[in-house]
Amino acid sequence: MERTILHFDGDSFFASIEQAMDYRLRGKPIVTGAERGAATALSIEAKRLGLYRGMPMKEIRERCPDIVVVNSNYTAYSVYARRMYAIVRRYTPLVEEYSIDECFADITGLEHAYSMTYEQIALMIKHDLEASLGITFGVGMGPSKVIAKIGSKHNKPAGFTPIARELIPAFLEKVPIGSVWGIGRAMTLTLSALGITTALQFAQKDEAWLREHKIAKPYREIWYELRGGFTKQLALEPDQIPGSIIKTRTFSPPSKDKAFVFAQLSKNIERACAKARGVGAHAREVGVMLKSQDFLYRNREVPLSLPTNDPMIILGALRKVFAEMFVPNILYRATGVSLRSLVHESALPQDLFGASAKASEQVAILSAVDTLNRRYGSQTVHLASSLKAVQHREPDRQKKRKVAQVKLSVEQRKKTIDLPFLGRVH
Amino acid sequence: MVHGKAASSRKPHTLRKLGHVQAGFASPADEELADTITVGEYLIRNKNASYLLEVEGDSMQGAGILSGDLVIFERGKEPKVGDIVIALLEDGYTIKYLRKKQGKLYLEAANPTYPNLYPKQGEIVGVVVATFRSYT
Repeated sequence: MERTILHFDGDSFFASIEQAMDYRLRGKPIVTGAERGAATALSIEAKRLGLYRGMPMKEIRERCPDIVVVNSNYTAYSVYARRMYAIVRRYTPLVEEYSIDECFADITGLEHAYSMTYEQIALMIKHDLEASLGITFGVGMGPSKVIAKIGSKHNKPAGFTPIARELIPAFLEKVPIGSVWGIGRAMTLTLSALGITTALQFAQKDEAWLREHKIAKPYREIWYELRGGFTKQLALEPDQIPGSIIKTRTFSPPSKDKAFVFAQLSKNIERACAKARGVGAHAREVGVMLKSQDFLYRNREVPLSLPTNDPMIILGALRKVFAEMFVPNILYRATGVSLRSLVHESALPQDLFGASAKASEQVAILSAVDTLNRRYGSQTVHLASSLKAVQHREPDRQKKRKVAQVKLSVEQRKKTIDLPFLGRVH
Repeated sequence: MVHGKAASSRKPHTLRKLGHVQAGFASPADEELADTITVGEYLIRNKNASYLLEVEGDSMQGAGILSGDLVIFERGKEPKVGDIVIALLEDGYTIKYLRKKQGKLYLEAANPTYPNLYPKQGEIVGVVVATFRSYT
């Protein structure tokens, strides 16, 4: 499946936050960085006066005596940055916190979940960011990070620029090679000595040319992405990808019904896979646990031939193993499943991802299932193999539910909420 | 004086005036505490769009909002007639009821000594979702 990457870039981020937090600064030229003696950010109004980032404060004050100069307030900027990441994460877990005022998001495949086009999804997130934070964002969309970043720069401020594959050359023609993300001053000089001044000229070179001129790997990656490929992975936060996903459930009364115990296992597999899909994780190995009435545990690990989070594939792989593990005429009280050796989907080789029409069809089905279960409650839609477990009503269901809720609240990590204080109200 | 400066220290559970307020408590670590509530989450619906203002004056006393109270408002929330809203007018923020008469929106204080406001300029920036007061 072709990637759809978004890049969000806060317009004049620090200066915009100062204006959002103090209404008296709105519409005025303001500069942050008083404590550094040089401008760290400028409001749009200050940019219009011809001031620029890094300009010494002394010079700024001489040129514009009326300008408002404030100290940088990194506490506030980081609160706004964390809000930005959190808002984007409401739409997709695949978010790279690239810098204090920028992030990348992978929205590949979400068309089905939202019944919207990629453009509509991007605009929905942009609108949420701007309404929630009171500052504007430049948003770019493209098949890779490099292209998305060209888009977000394109139409400032508050622009939205989707760059479809076929439009890439028209955009690259106008982009100086030195403005491409990742190409620094030294590389700009190297490339211009080779006659390359625009991003398009670089993109049009072939592999033989790259080899001939010993272009290093990071630049070969940029070249590849300028041509519409995807290779620069999103750097997700470490806690976005868990080491393993475990789902276990005790049922009562204990049962010796093979179909019922398998249904319990099936339900756990579905829940574990849904969680894996939520964070974009694929398992390379799956573990099964059966626990009997007298607390005898049986465990088995099963390697998966391809990394997956598709419950049908995992069920298929476990059916035989379960038959071997299951001992007739003893009572079972719990089953469990663990998805292990997780890899993020962005790290999957391209040819595995949507290699066949069937695989991408399956992705669409599963994302529709996830949407329904999110909207109407878990297990609204489930596999037939889980039916016996889903229908089963526990005699002490109330008690179980309370325990489940406790777990939920323990799982939630940070409970403090930072609220920017905006002053007085009459 | 510039409003909205944040303190640089980040001690948990301290209220910071003219800065960021830590409006939350640690999560219950064990089952016995499971029936407690988290004050921040009780007061705040959409934490990424919520902001604080300090009330000055008695224009909303009829709604139980007094001078010195802190209000939490949510940006970007669609205001409904009857909501307590925050509007940004030429002379600063104002907190009032949003009312409508004969198709025309206006702002009404919860205090009969204040006139209704029919602002020509300005915008409604958010809807008040909570208010709180400390007696210490």
